[in-house]
Amino acid sequence: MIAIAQEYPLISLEPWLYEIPRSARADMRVPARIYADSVLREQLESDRSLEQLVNVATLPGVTGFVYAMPDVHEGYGFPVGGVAAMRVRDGVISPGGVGYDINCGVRLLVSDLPLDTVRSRIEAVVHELSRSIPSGPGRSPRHALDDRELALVLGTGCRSLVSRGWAMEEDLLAIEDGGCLPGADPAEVSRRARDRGRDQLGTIGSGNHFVELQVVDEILDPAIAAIYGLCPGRLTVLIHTGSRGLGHQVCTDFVRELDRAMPGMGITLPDRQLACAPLVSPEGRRYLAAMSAAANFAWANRQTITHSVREVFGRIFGTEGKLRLLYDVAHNIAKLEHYGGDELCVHRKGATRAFGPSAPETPAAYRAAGQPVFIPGSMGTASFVLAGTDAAATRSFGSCCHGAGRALSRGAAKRATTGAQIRRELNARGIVVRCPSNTSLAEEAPLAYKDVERVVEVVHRAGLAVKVARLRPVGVIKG
Amino acid sequence: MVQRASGERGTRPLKASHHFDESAELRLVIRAETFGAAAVEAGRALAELVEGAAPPHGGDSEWTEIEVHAGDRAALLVEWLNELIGRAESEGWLPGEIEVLESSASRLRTRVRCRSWPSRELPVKAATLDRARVETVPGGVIAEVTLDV
Repeated sequence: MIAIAQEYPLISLEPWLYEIPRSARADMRVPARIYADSVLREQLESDRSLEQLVNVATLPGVTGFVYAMPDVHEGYGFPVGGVAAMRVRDGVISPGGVGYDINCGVRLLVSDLPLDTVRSRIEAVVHELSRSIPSGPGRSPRHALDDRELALVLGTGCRSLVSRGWAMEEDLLAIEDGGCLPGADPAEVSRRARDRGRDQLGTIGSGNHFVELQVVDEILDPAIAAIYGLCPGRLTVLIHTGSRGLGHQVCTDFVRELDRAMPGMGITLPDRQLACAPLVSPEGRRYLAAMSAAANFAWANRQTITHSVREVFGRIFGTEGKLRLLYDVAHNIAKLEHYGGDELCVHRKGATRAFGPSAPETPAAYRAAGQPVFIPGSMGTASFVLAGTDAAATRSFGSCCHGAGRALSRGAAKRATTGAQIRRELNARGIVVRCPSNTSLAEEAPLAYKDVERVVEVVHRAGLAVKVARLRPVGVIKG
Repeated sequence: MVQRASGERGTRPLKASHHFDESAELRLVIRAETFGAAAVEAGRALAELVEGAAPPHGGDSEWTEIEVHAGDRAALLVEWLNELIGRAESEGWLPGEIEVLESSASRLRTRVRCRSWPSRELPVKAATLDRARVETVPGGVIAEVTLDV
């Protein structure tokens, strides 16, 4: 047993799995489990993520275990890389357990273009993408939606883009929930949230969001890679962004509302950023409806960016530049799912759904493999394609990690390096970078993140997902 | 040295100031003589985040009244910042001059003159309740809010 910084007992169950027993704190309703190897476990001592995980274990209706993925780090109330499931009949839903960037997620577009034959045009592609896809905070006037159009996006997600020609029917089959969460109600999204988001569709935003050109560097599971249509040396595009200002405002609105409502509901929490409401309460149902609408906006955002990328590829590569959507995964979301006959609300904040071959939600095309999962590395480092497993259902409510996970704060990263230095290092490795801000580059420097290879290895060994392919960046467009 | 509570004779009022603690995420730390002065300083800090270390003073709009409510002062400060962030991103302006009209533990009423900010580019997206606090100290208040970036 190891005593960690917060002085919770951390029992080693496997070389990659630790547990904080329910007895560690009187208000815990379930134990907490942490997927980590010895190195990642030591990194847990540098922030409050385990204390936050223990706080999550006190939420009403929480069941089984609360989990920390190997990329876990401190968040606002609920740790990033945390998973918790609440019974619908007597449990709560917490906006903090979803996060501010509702349905932040990742999608991978796959081409048949060999990098070797298009290498000389990568700089032009990156340049054109940076001109076509607004990045950084703020907005673009290009896709400003009126009230009717925005309501359609909020209510029906990616499907609303089919008639515009920005989405194809086959795209919808390659997105979690078809790019539309049922139960979304645009009327539950505030006017302020709609105003923040109405002209942000098709924009990357800031922080760790990006569009990257990547090459399939190594196939790690040939059988599954074949099912996914991944070939070594082929060019791909990884898109990482979310619901922009609209999602942030939905979270802000409901954290405020539930923080005020909790005393009347008899709920007391160790951290008010975990503000929550019973799933069966009017307040809980309203948040679920608003969150679902924001999730639909995020899927439509990634789809609109996909449309822009396809236009650029078409202009530069012609018909050979066709891009197929392999899959789109959410990593900040709460979903109603069934486990052992119970309907649960699974909160995944900085965690990716990783359903296996047997799950009905896994698309038919991937039933022999499990759903694709994408784990972006830090800027300029490898990203991974994984496949979900059936075992994950019992080990993590069908969840795995979502990225490398921060090891240094943004401030510490800026003190440790400069944007100009990062730009030089990436260029020296043949990676074309477009980012308007050196500060953003420094904040997202690889040294600020955990080792994504180590994070993915833990997930693989723990049986939460299977490594399928490693991707290497050749071009980066950042906000 | 024994310090006296605010308002006692001999206590020096806190000069309004702020800084950002980036040891974890972006955490705004404010010192001010009163809660109202802290709210004004929070508005200045937001403008500084967007416009750089020395944002211009003053606004070019008409005075607009803004009123926010919350159950306690920490939540009130978070609510105030979120109101400014939301207006900046949705309406394209930044706070230039802020005057506090009324301030209590649960209510803040201000009037604000704004500067146009057409790019609507904000490096912060929300103020959070995560470890938000407002404490009375000798000479004034200290407030801390974690910002989502």
